[in-house]
Amino acid sequence: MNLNELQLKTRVRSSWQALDIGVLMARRWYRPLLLAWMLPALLLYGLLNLVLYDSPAWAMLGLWWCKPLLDRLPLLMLSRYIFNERPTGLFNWRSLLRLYRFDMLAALLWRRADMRRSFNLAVTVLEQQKGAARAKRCAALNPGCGRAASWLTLVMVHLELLVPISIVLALVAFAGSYIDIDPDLFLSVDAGVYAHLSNLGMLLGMSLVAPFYLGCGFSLYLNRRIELEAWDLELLFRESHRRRSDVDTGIEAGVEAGVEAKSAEQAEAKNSAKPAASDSANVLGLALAAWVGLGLLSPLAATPAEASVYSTEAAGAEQAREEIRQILETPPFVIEKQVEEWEWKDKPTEVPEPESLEGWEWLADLARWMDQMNLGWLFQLVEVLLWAALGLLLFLLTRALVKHLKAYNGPEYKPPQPVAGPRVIMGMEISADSLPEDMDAAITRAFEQGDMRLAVSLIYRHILHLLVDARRVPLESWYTELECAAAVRSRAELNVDSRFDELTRLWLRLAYAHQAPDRQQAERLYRELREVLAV
Amino acid sequence: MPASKLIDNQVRVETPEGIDFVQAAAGPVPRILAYMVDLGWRCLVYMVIGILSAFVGGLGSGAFLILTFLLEWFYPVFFEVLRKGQTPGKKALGLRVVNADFTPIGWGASIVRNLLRAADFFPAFYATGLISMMLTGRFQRLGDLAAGSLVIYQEAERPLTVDPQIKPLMPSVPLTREERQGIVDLTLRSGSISESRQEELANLLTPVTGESGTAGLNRLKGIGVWLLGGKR
Repeated sequence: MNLNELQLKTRVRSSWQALDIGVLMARRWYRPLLLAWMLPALLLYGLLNLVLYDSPAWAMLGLWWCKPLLDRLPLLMLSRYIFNERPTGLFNWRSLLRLYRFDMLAALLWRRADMRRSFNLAVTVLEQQKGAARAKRCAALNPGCGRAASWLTLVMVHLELLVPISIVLALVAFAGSYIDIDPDLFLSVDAGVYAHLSNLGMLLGMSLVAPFYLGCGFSLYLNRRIELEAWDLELLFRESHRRRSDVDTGIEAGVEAGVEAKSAEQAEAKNSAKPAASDSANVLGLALAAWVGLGLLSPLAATPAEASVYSTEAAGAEQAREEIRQILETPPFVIEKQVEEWEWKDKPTEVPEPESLEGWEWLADLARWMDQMNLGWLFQLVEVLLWAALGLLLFLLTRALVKHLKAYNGPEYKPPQPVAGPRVIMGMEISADSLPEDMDAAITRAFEQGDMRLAVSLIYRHILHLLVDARRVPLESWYTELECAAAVRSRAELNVDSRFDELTRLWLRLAYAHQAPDRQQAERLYRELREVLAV
Repeated sequence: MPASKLIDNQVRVETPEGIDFVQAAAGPVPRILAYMVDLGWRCLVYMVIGILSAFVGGLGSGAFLILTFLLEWFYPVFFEVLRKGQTPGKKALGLRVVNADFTPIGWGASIVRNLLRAADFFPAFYATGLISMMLTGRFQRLGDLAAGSLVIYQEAERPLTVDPQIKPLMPSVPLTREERQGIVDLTLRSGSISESRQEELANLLTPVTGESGTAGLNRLKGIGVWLLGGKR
């Protein structure tokens, strides 16, 4: 187990997040994990079928019962993958047998119903614990993530069922209505080949889900160990230790080199100082010589420390980094101040005084005056006015909108105007102006005077007037008397019955045959018709 | 084996100012559980409405149908937009729906995300959505991909409780940010890590503490308390 090779960003995560990491882990190494589960499972199913071919349900139950054993190999492989190792050396008969035989009975008998199986499996397979030691270890690991492990099992059981169900439903959906599928086919337990097919579907579901189930359980286990053993801190501190020890050796080497170089320089300076003391006139030239000499000699002086020349440079960089870090730790980068009283976290910044209020005093005065006047009511009034204005605006907008919409309705709709009835029918004036004010009196007078023609024509004209102007019967000026009668007959809702026909007959006889009408009959018809036609 | 990217569930969004925001994307198992919680609540409401509408007759069953329609399609939308991206189920599991850039989700995205549940549901019980979640690196179902949304964990703030017995100690050497975080972490988590393991870890930092064993560990914890703001 080499933590540096861990293929996981080490961090203490919540148990739910650990489950997500498990999904990502299963995804990365999905194919080998899937095969490592599926091939042994198929083999086992085949073996079970040798004995139980006639009862597929029992064969399936047997396979399902052995799931804790089938889970072991993929888990072992995953534990190698996560530390960036190849799981070679696992695939020989001896180690496989050892893997499956270890604590087999307990796993298959009293621990088969363990809801936290995927989580506790790591203790069995990877830590090789059994019996009391295993129980103790599980109890130590379980707090905090046992709940998530149980939920995981519950969810994954349902996902295993979901796989065959959704395959069947997808097939049905894609087949459409062309194929009639007998729903009993998938439900019947003992239907020969179909039962084996449905078993294979279940097996497929189990194998597709198993890598995720194992990955999640293993990830929970890893997360718990990262938490308990602080793997993340170990990686971090190890890195820091490595860096710091590098820096230390670098600095020491650098310091040594520096010291040696210095002593060499001093020795050189002493040598060159001797002739300089004898002649003070040649100071300048000597200084020049000393400088040249130093320049020539310094590489020679450095020869004893040649080995550490490069480390000096490296140490210089490290030293600079160190100095930068030190500077970053001191003000003004780190400001430490002592505050001895409570204060608001985000203290309101003080409003800067306006530079000059000249010319604006009246505004301040006004504000002060308004404060004093207690003008709450005014503001309320303004508010009401504003709301009213808003309401008015909305109303106007609505009206404008309505108008606008109307404008687009094409030519404006005009209700059909009542067609003005004819003023004259068969050469007789029938308008209201042409008739006397008091009809009854006029008719009675005409009868008294024996002018039958006038009396009946008055009656006939008045009735026509009522028909045309009050009841809007579409009579035309060119209609004959019989056509008028027919038009009136077609308007049954007028309730004139045969009275207008009678009147027409009366009038025709009088007008064309000069037969005097019966006065009573004429008056009765007139009365009744007027009553019926009155609006 | 060639070294590859480390497995991590965190999603990073960088602002134009160069600031990284980091959130953990939520995967299938907690989301399935959150959905089940929501489903439970909805069923409860359906039952109550169903019983009440049975008393009203034909009008009642019409109202029942309308209400179930609205509840089935807009229950998540309502909660996601108006309750900070959390339906009751998501709240129970500590999840949140956000846009892919971690901004709060709006009406449009939420409606798209939830209308596409029909696609995710195909052919049964969100099988397509689950496959999509497994395939995308950030656990997005089809609806999430269409709406550009993400389900993340609402991180609870860790309580900063330390043993008051520990005397704060100023570090004698400058520390990097990672080192400071690590030392603070060790101080805070000292309750769950065994004593011997803690000493082992402290020994790695001998260059910082200048001592090893228990003394080193105690100095390290002192530095941790100092870094957390404990001063004398």
